[in-house]
Amino acid sequence: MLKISDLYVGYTSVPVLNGISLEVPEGKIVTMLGANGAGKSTTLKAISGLMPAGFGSIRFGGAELAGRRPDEIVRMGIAHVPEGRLVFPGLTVSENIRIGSYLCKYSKAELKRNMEHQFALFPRLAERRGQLAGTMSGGEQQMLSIARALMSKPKLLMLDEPSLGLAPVIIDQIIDKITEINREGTTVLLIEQNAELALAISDWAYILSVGSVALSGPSSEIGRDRSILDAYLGG
Amino acid sequence: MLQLVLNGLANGVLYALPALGISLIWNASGQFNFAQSDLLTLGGYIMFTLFGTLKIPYVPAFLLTVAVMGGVGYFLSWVYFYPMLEARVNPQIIMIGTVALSVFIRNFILVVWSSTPQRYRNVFGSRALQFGELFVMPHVLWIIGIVAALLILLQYFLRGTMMGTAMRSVAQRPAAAWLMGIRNNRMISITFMMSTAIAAVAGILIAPINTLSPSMGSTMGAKVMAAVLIGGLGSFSGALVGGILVGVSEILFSAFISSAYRDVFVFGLLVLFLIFRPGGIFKADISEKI
Ligand SMILES: Nc1ncnc2c1ncn2[C@@H]1O[C@H](COP(=O)(O)OP(=O)(O)OP(=O)(O)O)[C@@H](O)[C@H]1O
Ligand SMILES: [Mg+2]
Repeated sequence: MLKISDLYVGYTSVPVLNGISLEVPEGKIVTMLGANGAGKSTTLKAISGLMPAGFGSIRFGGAELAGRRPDEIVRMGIAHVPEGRLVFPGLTVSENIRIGSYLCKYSKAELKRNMEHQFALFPRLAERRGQLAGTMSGGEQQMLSIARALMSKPKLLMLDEPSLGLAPVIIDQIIDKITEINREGTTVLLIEQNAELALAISDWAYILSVGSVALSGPSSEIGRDRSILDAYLGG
Repeated sequence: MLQLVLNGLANGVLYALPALGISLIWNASGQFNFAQSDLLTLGGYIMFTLFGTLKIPYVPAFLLTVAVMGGVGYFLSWVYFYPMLEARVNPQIIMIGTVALSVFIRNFILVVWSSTPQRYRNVFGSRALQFGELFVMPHVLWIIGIVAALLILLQYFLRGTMMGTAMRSVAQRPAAAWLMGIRNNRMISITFMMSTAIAAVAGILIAPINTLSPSMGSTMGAKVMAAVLIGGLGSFSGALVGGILVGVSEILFSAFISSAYRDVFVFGLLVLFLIFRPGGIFKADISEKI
């Protein structure tokens, strides 16, 4: 479904990604692990068009993404839940979710049905429809950020460290939701610091190290040898 | 006494209009535009040319002026504000740039229309309406009506429509707004188009009352700024209430205490607000940016 070949990306001439190749098959959960600064977030930003791809190609369902604007990429069916959630703090929970369908020309009924679907997935949000997003807890903001992304009915959902800074109970809830979303048919590309959790729910894993893929394979195999993993993750 | 309050109200609603434009830009792009009051003057002059000189009937001339000024706003956002925001220039620097813009517009007006004060007919009539003991100019009622209508429309647009919500999103988290498929540059341009059009409406309404001069806007500017900050930066009702408060208290002060020190009084009032209620009367939710 998504296929990145030999991608180079840099911030004002400083190279960050040095030729990454990666593939996300339809219907699967693929995880990307790596130490801080390895370039995981940069990869997602390149896919969603927030950062221009230097060289290389990013193909999604046969179409080239490199050089496209973020809105075109959303329209093609990719949603990006960014690092740090980035909910709109001065908008209510409902408004945050609604704005996720900005590009979808839903009818009133469709919009409502779609929003209720998100509230059913995250009942915590339903209780807080009218609350300003900026006043919510970290876990609630994470749920909101995911719900907002799902409003465009993406084919591929990319999540950047959804467990960051959350209590273990909440992390488990979020991880459950991710597998649930995947079971409903959405392909997932997941960045995680928590390697154990990510490997447990994913089908395939890529380990990034200073801007290149150091290791990749089925998650079950990657998880087997902790010492190699620890060496790359600096854990 | 009541008559004085009414006169103050008349002044106050004039401050409220440009204040509204400033709050709109603040809400939608997190910018503070010092050139707002000079855009107001420019709107007045364009109306002067269309209505006063070319004799185009009032309503078409009004609409044409608003449209032209909307175009000016779009152009400014496109050549100045968006590139600056995109390059992540410090907001304070962008703000100082708007001071330069204000000087530029004032001199542009000076070159095109000269410094001779101009005036065009007050279409709302120059005979005061009498209500019992009180006299009120018809334009005061019109302006109150227009400001109220604009307020309601804006409120509906920003809270009740997808585009308005998108505008607020861009102001709060530009990167996340991009991820929703919102084109930030477009939204910012539309915001500036709207706020400049509002400034034009203000200029058109004020010119026949205050006499047009290149510095018309900037002499009002200080009061407008006070109205914005007292009402609450980013709040539309605040713009109206702040404008009226400044207008009324200014008139009362000059009638009962000293008219020479009225500007000093307005600033004193502003300082008191900044000390004791820095968010203004209607502290806007969006100004609590995180
Ligand atoms: N705006 C920026 N300007 C310059 N360099 C940047 C910028 N953003 C990120 N970088 C650099 O790019 C490299 C990769 O960053 P990236 O955010 O992709 O890492 P990451 O793998 O997501 O790390 P983390 O686990 O800490 O989130 C880092 O060395 C970082 O310093
Ligand atoms: Mg990261």
